[in-house]
Amino acid sequence: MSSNSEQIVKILSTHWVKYARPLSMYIILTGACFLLFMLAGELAEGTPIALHGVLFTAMIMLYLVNHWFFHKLLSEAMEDIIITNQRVIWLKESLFIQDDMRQIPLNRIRGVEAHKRGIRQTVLHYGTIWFDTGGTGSQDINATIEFVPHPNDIARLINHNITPE
Amino acid sequence: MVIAAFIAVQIVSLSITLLFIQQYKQISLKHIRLLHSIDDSKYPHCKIHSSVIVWIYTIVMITLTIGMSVLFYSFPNLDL
Repeated sequence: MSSNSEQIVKILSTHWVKYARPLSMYIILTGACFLLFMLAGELAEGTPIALHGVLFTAMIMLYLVNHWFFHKLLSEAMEDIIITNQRVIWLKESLFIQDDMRQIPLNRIRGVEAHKRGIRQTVLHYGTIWFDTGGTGSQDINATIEFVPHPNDIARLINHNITPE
Repeated sequence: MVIAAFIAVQIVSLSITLLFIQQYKQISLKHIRLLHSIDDSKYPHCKIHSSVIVWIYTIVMITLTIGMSVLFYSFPNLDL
């Protein structure tokens, strides 16, 4: 435990819906790769150059699709939101591309708003939370966290711990 | 020539997998250290998700490497 009596209130990650788009893209692209393999099978009786070309294209594409997909999944999974009794820490990482850490001290926060917009967000219980630190708008990406599961509960939890200056 | 190109593609692919796993471990360790500086009994949420994804990634890439080798060597009329 740290000496300044900082205590963790909640640790959470963003909602699983963030995986839906990469997964659907992965299924489509993998399907395209298998179509190329089938085309290579059709070309087996034809010229070797065309066969090699299509086979290597399919193989390289399949590898690239898999690396892209797992890179995307791992990057999305490396997102953490840590709420303590003194600050909110938001870690967003993407392998070799992004390394962001945002810390908002609770005594700087005037209020927290939760937004759920659309049928999907309402049904799947996720949304955006916005930190009003005075001078930030609800569209400011530095003051908003997207894909937060149960944003109303999280906003209530943070508001409960806020001790304004 | 064809075999050399095939082996090169396999090696590059496996190297990318190892690089991603290495990077994942570094990021994961960073999150754990940050969290342990506040409370050493807690673990980050990302650790659970990403561990499962890394295991699936490893299994998929090994399966793909073996599968591609079998396909490549058993493909009809492939002039090696």
